[in-house]
Amino acid sequence: MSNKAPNFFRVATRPKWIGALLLSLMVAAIFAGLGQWQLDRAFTKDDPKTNTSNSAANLVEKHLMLDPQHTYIVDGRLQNGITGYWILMNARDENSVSTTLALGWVEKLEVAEDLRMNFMKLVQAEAFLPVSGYPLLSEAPQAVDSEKPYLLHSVSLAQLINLYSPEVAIETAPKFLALSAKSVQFSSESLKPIEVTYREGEKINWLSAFYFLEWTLFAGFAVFLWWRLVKDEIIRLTAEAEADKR
Amino acid sequence: MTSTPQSLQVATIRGVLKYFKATSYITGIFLLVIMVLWGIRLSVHADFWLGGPNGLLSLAYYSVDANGTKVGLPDSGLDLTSVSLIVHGWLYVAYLFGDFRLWTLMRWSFGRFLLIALGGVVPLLSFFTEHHFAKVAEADLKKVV
Repeated sequence: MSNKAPNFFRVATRPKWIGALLLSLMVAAIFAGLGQWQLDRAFTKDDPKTNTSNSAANLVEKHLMLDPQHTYIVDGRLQNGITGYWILMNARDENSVSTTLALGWVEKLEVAEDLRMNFMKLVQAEAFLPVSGYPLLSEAPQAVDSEKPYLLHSVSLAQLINLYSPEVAIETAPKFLALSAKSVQFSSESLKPIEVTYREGEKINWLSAFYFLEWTLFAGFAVFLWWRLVKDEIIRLTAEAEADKR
Repeated sequence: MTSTPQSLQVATIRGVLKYFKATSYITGIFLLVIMVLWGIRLSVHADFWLGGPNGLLSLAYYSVDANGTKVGLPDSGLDLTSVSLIVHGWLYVAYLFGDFRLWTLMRWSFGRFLLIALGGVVPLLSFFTEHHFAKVAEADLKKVV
């Protein structure tokens, strides 16, 4: 044991402490990774709104031929705090590409079922009509009850095109349209236009934002602990050196 | 490394020990609370909601869509489940600070530091670590005084 008080660098470069440094850096990297993961989550969608479109400017107009034979009902649709139903109808453009239309919102299932029957009996002109609506994202498919195969639990375009055309593969537009109030009128008191809310930019997930800060803090702390442990070792060595002197 | 604390620091250590005990209980209790809230979130997909459309305190149910986005939570009010998770996160930081202070002053081994740190993450463990290490600290202090 040397009599001189060891300096920080001499102790820190001992294999044991280099190993400890690598370990603490590894822990810090893991914590930083976890922080990065939380940061990604902090700025992604955690939006509580049901029907969101990016902006009012998103209203699109298409010329479509309705296909009332393929009318469906989807449940669990929130509007003004009331859970109700949407009525979906297939339509196609000049190139036979399918566009699913969400015609409107209904509060009661019986009313939705009546409307659906009426629509299916509708003799539609073989013409392309102007239709305007807000494009909305397709949802994950959910299994339907075999007793009511027309009652869906989500608007999944992948699921819907199989219902429209079970045998032949057809193309579909990437998003479905929620008809605007100004669009083709389907005469019914109970069928209300779907309210599409707008999301201004992204919402911050505060939980993840704070977790990101904490992981960053812990990553810094892991390296700080290494420094602290080396300091402790120096204090111990110095004390031993002093004891040796006496 | 079972060296003893410096006699000059005894007063400081007493203060830190109080802080350590207090944060142990607070984090421990909060950890149990968030385990319950978390359980509700995972099992029935609901968060505790303060001041939403359904009154002062209610359960807000939600579903998760294809993008992993939570759908159906109220627009107004405060998500108490998320707030509790955030608060626990920072209480844990405060607890860890106490752990670090005590560990440095008492010149304990690094394993003890990690064990106490774990106490704030594993439910109920902080009550045991507090009970045990507060006693160890008191015994160590007696040796000095």
